[in-house]
Amino acid sequence: MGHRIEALMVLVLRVALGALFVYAGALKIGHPLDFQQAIENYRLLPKVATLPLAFYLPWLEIVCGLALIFGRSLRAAAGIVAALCIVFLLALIQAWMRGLDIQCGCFGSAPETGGLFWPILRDMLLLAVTGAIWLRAKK
Amino acid sequence: MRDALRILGLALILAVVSYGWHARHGRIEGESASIPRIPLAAAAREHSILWLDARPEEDYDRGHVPGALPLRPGSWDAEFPAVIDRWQPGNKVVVYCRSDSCETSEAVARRLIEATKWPDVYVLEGGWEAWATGSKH
Repeated sequence: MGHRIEALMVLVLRVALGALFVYAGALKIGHPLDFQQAIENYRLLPKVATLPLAFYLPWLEIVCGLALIFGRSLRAAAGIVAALCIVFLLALIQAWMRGLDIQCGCFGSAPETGGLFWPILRDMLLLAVTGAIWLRAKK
Repeated sequence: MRDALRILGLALILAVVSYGWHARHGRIEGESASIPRIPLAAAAREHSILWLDARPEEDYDRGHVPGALPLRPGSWDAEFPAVIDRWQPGNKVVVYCRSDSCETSEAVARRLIEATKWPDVYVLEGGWEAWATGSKH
């Protein structure tokens, strides 16, 4: 019984996480230049790197999200999502520490309030959820 | 490992196709060019500037460039009509946010150009901080 509840919880978590990543990616694919601007605002990468990333990252989010939703290549998808969460988290934390007055850009150009604090917390939560899914996924 | 490479590869293929589509429809060239920046000294010499304030509402209420209209991504639909009403041919439009480290002015300027095709849209170098410092001297 306990095992079934645990399995159900993991299923709910991975579908929710997958849907969130598909949503986040879908918001960006139509406006890659806006997302490029969001990446540039973090002042971490040279301009030449931001345009390819602005095209690649949203599709990576969507493919990983769909894999999580449909349970295909689960361990690989969860591993990539965890890596993305770590990269996003580091970028957010350095921007926060440098006092950059920017928006997260996590969901395209959708308006966000509250600065970078909440995106950092959200990313930590997503990382924890992804880690749990990765650990449960079969090798 | 093979699954991970498959996911990374599939995303790469989709990104390349997406890039091709955007390039073919002219949605990359031109739009990706940075919005020109105008120094405060140059802006101060102009007589027909339409100032747009892209900072949060509370900052605008605390103080803004005289005559500046608020225009922010989050309240675009409500604020944009007033901008259209105020603009006159020959106007230089200068958008500002808090400082050089904020990106809202650039986003607003980009969206404004996309919506209006106005020729002279600039971002104020140094943003509100530059204005506030400049007006004290």
